[in-house]
Formats: sequence, structure tokens, C-alpha cells
Amino acid sequence: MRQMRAWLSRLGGLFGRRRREQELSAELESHLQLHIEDNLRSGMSPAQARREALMKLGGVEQTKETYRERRGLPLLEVFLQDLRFGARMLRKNPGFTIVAVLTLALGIAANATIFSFVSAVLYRKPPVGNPDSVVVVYGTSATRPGGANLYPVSTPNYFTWKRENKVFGEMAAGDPYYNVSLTGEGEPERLATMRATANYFSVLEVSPELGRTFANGEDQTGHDHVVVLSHQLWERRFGSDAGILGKSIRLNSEPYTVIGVMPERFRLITFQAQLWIPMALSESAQGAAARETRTLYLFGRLKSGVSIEQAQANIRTLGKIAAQNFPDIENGWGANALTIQDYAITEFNAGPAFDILLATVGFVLLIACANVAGLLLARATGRGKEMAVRIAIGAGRMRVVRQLMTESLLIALLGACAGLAFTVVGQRLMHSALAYNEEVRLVELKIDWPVLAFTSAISVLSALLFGLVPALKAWSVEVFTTLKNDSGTASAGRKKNRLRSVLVAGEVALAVILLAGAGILIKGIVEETRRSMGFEAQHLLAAQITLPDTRYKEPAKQIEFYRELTTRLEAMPGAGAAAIASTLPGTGPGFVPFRLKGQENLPAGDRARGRYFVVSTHYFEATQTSLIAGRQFSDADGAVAPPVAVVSEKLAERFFPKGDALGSLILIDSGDALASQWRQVIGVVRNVKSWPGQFADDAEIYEPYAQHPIEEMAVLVRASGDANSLAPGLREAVWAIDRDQPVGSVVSMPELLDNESAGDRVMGALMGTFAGMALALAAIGLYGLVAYTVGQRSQEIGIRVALGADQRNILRLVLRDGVKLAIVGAAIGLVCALPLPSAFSSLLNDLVVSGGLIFALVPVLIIGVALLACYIPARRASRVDPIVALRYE
Amino acid sequence: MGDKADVWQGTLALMVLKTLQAMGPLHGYGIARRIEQTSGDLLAVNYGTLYPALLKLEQEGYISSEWGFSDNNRKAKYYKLTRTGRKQLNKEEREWEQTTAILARFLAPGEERS
Repeated sequence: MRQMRAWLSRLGGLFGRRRREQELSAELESHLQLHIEDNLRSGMSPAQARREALMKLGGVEQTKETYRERRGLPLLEVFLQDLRFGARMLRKNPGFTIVAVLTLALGIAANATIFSFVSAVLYRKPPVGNPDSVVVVYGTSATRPGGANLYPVSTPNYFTWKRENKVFGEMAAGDPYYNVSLTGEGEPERLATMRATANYFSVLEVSPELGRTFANGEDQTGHDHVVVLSHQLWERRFGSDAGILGKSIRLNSEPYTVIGVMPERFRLITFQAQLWIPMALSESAQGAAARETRTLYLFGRLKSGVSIEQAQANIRTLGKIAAQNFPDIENGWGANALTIQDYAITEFNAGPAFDILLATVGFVLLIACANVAGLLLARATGRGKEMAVRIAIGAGRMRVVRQLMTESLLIALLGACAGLAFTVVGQRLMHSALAYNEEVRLVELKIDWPVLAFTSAISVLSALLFGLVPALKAWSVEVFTTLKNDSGTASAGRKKNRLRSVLVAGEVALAVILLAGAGILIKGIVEETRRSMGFEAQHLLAAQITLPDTRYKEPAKQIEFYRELTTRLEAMPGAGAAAIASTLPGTGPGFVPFRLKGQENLPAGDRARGRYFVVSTHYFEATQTSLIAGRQFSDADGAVAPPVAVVSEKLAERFFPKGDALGSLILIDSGDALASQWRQVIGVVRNVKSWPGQFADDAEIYEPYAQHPIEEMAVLVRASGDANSLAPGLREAVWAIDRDQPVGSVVSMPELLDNESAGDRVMGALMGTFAGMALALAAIGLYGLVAYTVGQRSQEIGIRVALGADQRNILRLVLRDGVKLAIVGAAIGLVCALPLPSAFSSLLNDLVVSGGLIFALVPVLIIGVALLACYIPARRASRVDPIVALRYE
Repeated sequence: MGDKADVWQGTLALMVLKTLQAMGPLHGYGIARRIEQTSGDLLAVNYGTLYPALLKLEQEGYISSEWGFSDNNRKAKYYKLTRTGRKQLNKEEREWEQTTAILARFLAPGEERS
């Protein structure tokens, strides 16, 4: 209570200072007068009386100072005072201030940009009710290496786990891999669709913007022709028509009734869909292949009181039980669970790339801090006397340090403000660079509270970093030596700048690490994109076509459609071979298991798997995938002809080391019982990369389309010139056969592959940008140090010139010091950078990188830049007029 | 002056309160002189240290101050005990007596009573 009262009274002491000061002076003055009168009365001389009274008081100013400290809140008061003083100092040195603030702003902006991206994309709570208790259950595979290890789950497992888990109140299933064709008004269109059980929305606890979501039982056959639209689709395709509810739209040529529209903010990263339709699942109607068809993600709502760890333990156990019960199919498979937010973070699996980026921007900030620390140190040397005088006339050392730290904080805060402005630009650049990714494109990057908090935190941290060194220097000021020492003497210099030299060498080392890292990555990415795909993507046009099974139920009809289409395409002017394929090459085709006659007893864990393509006759011609042995598919390989297959070089080498692949028998387990039969290998073709830049080769298997018709196919046509010029013709050809058939994403193959590797390019560009920033900052640091030293040594240089040193000698003298620093820094940086290639290789799939030339180029580059940075001040030094330099004191 | 004991920090407040109780309203100089005299010149009060102490007591509400005139008609700031100050003084006096009594027993081992 008492303390509270005293504190309030002291807070009040911050105001009305002038009146209080006057009162204190008056009180002390009356004290002295009373004392002096007493002293006079006891017989002292007036002078003696005054002196004695003053001594007894212990000094008027000192008394006032202790009194003042008691009066207000000294910490706050001192802080405000320091802030005012700091602002004055910064205003007085605009050059210093601008350089320091801009340097910091760059470092802070780099960090804030990356952070705002991470925070916006991944760390925003998903737009579902109570997001922390929504759990995604997924499959894990011990045998498929790499990636995020998040796999969908089979329908039988869904039913079993839904029944047997002890942790979820309710469980829903969704199939995000289902796309539908929307026909009717406007162009037919393929839409990313989520098929989900009726309880999907209630498990997520989300409600629609308009209408309703699925009702119980709507996921039963016969009741399942209802659809919920996304806000985006509703707006784009239906003009935000509020009367859409109850209307019928045609999906896959069947009527679906629109029952609701989801709000715009309902965007689940990694589970984004344009519309939702019910998924009719029945446990009893599951065939033999069901267990191997993994297309479902499961969403569970945790029972209250159940932790995510308990849920994970429970689900893992259920996964193990499944593996025990079905060793043949589930071998190597398990299950796990993550909250929906953590799932998105893991699925995004930007993990290692983000780690590298975060480390990089951290380094940039560190270099910026070193730069500012260097600048402050330079100023501290100039202000050495000021500090010494302050300490001599009674300022506590702590007080001086506090004042310097306040100044640093002020610089950091200004840097943060400027940095935020840069961040807005950075966010725009980043957003447009990542726009190829639809999920990222939907995310809005802005300066929000987390970004503000992060920026303040790192700027305060930087202030501590760069302010500490000069502050510690002020702490250890030797008052007498500093005051006696005349800093203008000829020998001043070197020793004083040792700290700065260490800082600059450190900066150079950091810059070398960054440059080497960026160089290695970019080199790896370039090499990756140069890796031959195994087929010719140039002049190849691709499109997606899904035949609705309402009108193309019979395989013969499907075969007929595609045969006519390819014939029409090849007849177009400027078109070469045309073909269809179940998956476009280079876009991550799926795996299927296969068996080989005579090799049935491969160990179960090592079941042979291959990337699987179903292709039409002219496929190898259209893609220009060269044949190595045997023959291609021909029109004779029809539905009634003996089953055949073509395999890749890699498969042939791996399983037929004796070179006897041709003529052997292979059984491809594609999940389609009709197509599962022993096929004779009739040809071996070159390996094709599964995605751009893939390092290893996968085994690949091709089946002829006529022997395994599928509704959903990609169309490929080779053009003699620009592939895109064939696009209108392709659409016309489809619609000439079937007016209602949608043509999905008509795009040239190079563009498609470009999209696949866009992430790498963005990564390379970001790394390059940051490394460039690091180089520029280090150069500025070096320049600042050398320029400052030259200024300090102008007298020494003057003497040298007077004694006969010519311009070249002086130039060499100054350059030598700067370049020596650069070499030391570069050497340290290079040693630190040596393990980078192997670190990157282990962090990033596919990126097989080596240092090689980079390790030679980076030091050359940095020393070149160092020479340049030192040359400007060195030239100035070499033109020093000895008369002026010597006279200057 | 060197052989005189410095005023023990914590006791200064108590001395100020006691002085004000005994003397009535008094200015800073008077309080300082009074403490010095009462101690029989054994205590060296650096008068300057008195003022922060007075301010602290005032902030805590134990004393109040107002400007007045000294005997020889000089303007001075007079301090006087408040009601809470009086209570606080009583409390501190009791505590102090207890403390000294305990300490006295410790420091007189020869006269240990059973």
C-alpha cells in the first residue's frame, strides 16, 4: 500500500518538474543560509562559514541529483532523456543515421518478408471450429522414401478405424483427388473437388455462407446428388447469384442440386476444393482391390480431454493392427495423426527449404548488425573524449552504457520502421513469385500483428547485438588516458580499430558463406533443370480429358473416342504425332506394384514397383522417347491381341541384369482386375524423369491403351512450331466429337514442367537476392572501415608523402590493409562453407550439389569487391596533400 | 570527522520521525542539527543525504511539509508528523526496542540467565 502510494507520488514527480526544481533549490538555499548563520554566530569568517556549510551538505548539485532520483521514476525519466538525446545525436549525423538505418532496414525486411510468408501460409489457424481438436489421420509408408510421408488411407481402414478408435468423437473421410467436369452454360470445365462423407462439415465445425451443408444420409447412393460450392466458384461461375440454392448443375453430366455455398474464408490449405459433393461409401461393397486403393484422408474431432499425443498413439496402434492383419498389402504401412494445422505444415514440407531461407536471412541481418556495430564503433572512437568527460564529471558508467544502448535501440526502431516499408515491397515480390502455387496465391500477405511483433523482436535483438560492443567499449573507457591522449597524433589508429577489423572480417566470412551457399544451390538448380527429361518437351501440347462414365461407360466407346481424337489431331495442319497417356511424363506419375515371371519370390518388402503409364500407339513417337530394344506398340496390340507391355531401361537393368528383358512376362497390378494379366515385354525405352530435375531414374512400365482403357486421360500432340498455336485446334477437335466434353488445362509441355520446377527457381532467386544483399553489406562495411582508417591516418600518410612515398606506395599501403581483412574473412568463410554441399544434398531431395568451381569463384568475387571497396578511399589517401595533412591538428 | 560513525541507512528515517515527534514542525537543517546533537556528535550526518530521506517519508505519507519562517525570519520548508507517521513511529520504536533487546542478550554472554 505504502509502496503503491510512494510509486504514484513518484509517477506524479515526472510532471511539474520546473516548479519542483525551484522548490528544491529554495529549500537547499535556505538550508545553507541557516547553517551559515549558525556558523557565523559561532565565530567563523563568512567565507569559512559558507565553505563549512557546503561541505557538511555534501555538495549542492550532488544532493540535488540524489534527491531527483528519489523524486521521479529515474529509469523512465532517464530513458526519456536518453531518447531525446539519442534523437538529437542522430539528427546531427544524418549520413551516419541514414546508412545505419537503411542497412538495418534491409536486414529486417528480409527477415520480416520470409516470416510473414511462413506465418501467413502455415501458422494461421485453419478456418475451422476449434482447430486444435481437428485431427487429420493419414497413412505412413516405411518403404517409400523421401517426401513428407503423408499418404491417404484406404476405405476399409477408414471403416475399421472409425469403429475402433477411442479418441475421436466423430470421424469423417474426404477424397481430395476427385475432379469433376462442370458442363452447362459456358465452357466445360474441370474442377478440383472434394468428395466427403456427410459429416465432413460438422466434424470441421464450419457453417455455410448460404444454404446448408450435407445432411445425414446424403452420403448414401441415391441421395448423393447434392453439391456445396466454394465462394470463389460461386462468384466466378455463377455471378454470386443468391438464387443458386436449389438449382441443378451438371457435374460429370449428371444433375446435382446446389444446397449451399461456403464462405470465402473457408480455405483449407492442402485440402482446397472448388466444390464438395457427398461420397457414398459402404463398408460391405468393398472389393479385393479396395485395401490397396488409398485415396481418403480422415478427419477426426478429438473427444474432450483427449490430447493429440493420445490420439497419435491410438492411431499408430490401429495402423500396426492393420499391418498385422493384412501382411501382404499393408506391409510397411502404418498410420499417424496430426492436428489439421500441423498437417498442413508437414504436407507443405517446405521444411528444409524454409530452414535454409531462414538461416540465410538471419545471416543477412547479422551482417547488417555487424555493419551498424562498426559504424557505432567508429563514432565511439570519435566520442571517446565525450564519454571520458561525462564519466569525469560524475556520470555513472552504467548510465553512459544505458544511454548508448538507448541510442542503439532508437536506430533499431527506425530501422524496423523503414524495414516494414521494404517488407511491403518484399511481400509483393514474394507473392508474385509464388503465384504459380494456387494455395499460396490465395493467401494474402500483409503487415499484421504477428509480423509487427516479429519485427519489433528482431529489431530489439539487433539493437542488443550491435549496441553491445560500443557500449562495452564505453564501459571500459580509461578516463585519464583518454583525456590526456590527443587523438590527432600520427600514431593513432590501428590498435583502436582492431575490434572493427574483427567485425568486418566476420562480415566478409558470413558473406562468403552465404554466397557459397547460394552459389551451390543455384548451380544445383541449374544443373537440375538441365538434366535431360528423357523425352522432348519442346513443341508438345498437352490437355486433360475425362470422359464421364454416364456416356462412356463401355470401354469400346472410350477407345473409340480417343482413337477419333488422335486421328483428328494428327490431321491438323502443323501437327505431328498425337497420343494419349494416363499421366503426362515428368509430372510425377504414380507407382504400381508388378510381378515378373520367374521372379515371384522377391522378398515382400522389396516388391517391385514401377511408375505406371497407359499410352496409345503413337505415344513414344509423340513424346520422342527413344526405343532401345524391341518394338513400340502398334495398332495390332488391341483388346483381343496377346497382352503386351513396354518397360524402361532402368527396369530392364534392375530386374534383367543379363539383358533378357525382351520376351519376359510381367504382371502389372494396377488395381484393375481386367487389365491384370501376364504381359509380354515387347520393347525397352529410354528412362524418363518423373519430374524435372529428378536425380535418380525410376523403373517405368507402359501398357497399351487399347488393352486397358481408362476414362481420364491426358492428350499429347506434337507441333512443328509453337505448341500453343495448336491449342484452339485441339479444343475444336474434342468438341467436334462431343460438344459437352470439357477440355481441362490446355498447356504446352515446357510450361507445365516449368510450373513443376517453379519452386526451385523461386528458391534460387531468393537465395541469390539475399546473397547479393550480403555481398553489398559486407562491401559497405569494408569501405566504411577503410575510409575511416584513411581519415584517421591522414597525418601518417602526409608524413610518408613528405618523406618521399609516391601515390602508388600509398595506394598499396591502404589497399593492403583492407584486402588482408577480406582475405582473412574469405578464408574463414570458405572453411565454414565446405560442409554446405553435403548438408544441402541431405536436406533437399534430388538436389545433388557439389561445391567445385563455386569455392574458387566466391573468394575471387569477394576479394574483387573488397578491392573495389578499398580502392575509393585508397585513392583519396594517395592524393593527400602532405602540407594540409600535417598542419591539420 | 573520520572517526564518527556514518548514519546507519535504515535508522535515519526513524531518527527523523522521532525528532519531529519530540520537536514539532522543523526544517531540514534543524532536523539534521538535532540528530547530530542528540547523538552527542558521534554521528556524522552528511546533511545532503537527509533530503532524499525526507522526500521518501513524505511520499509514503508519514510526514508533510509546508513553507514557513524560522526564528530569525528566514523562509524554510517545515516538516511535521502526520497521523499515520505517528502510528508508524510507534510501530518502528517497538520493533527497534525488540531488536536491540534481542541483540543485547546475544552480546552479553556472561550474564546468561537460566
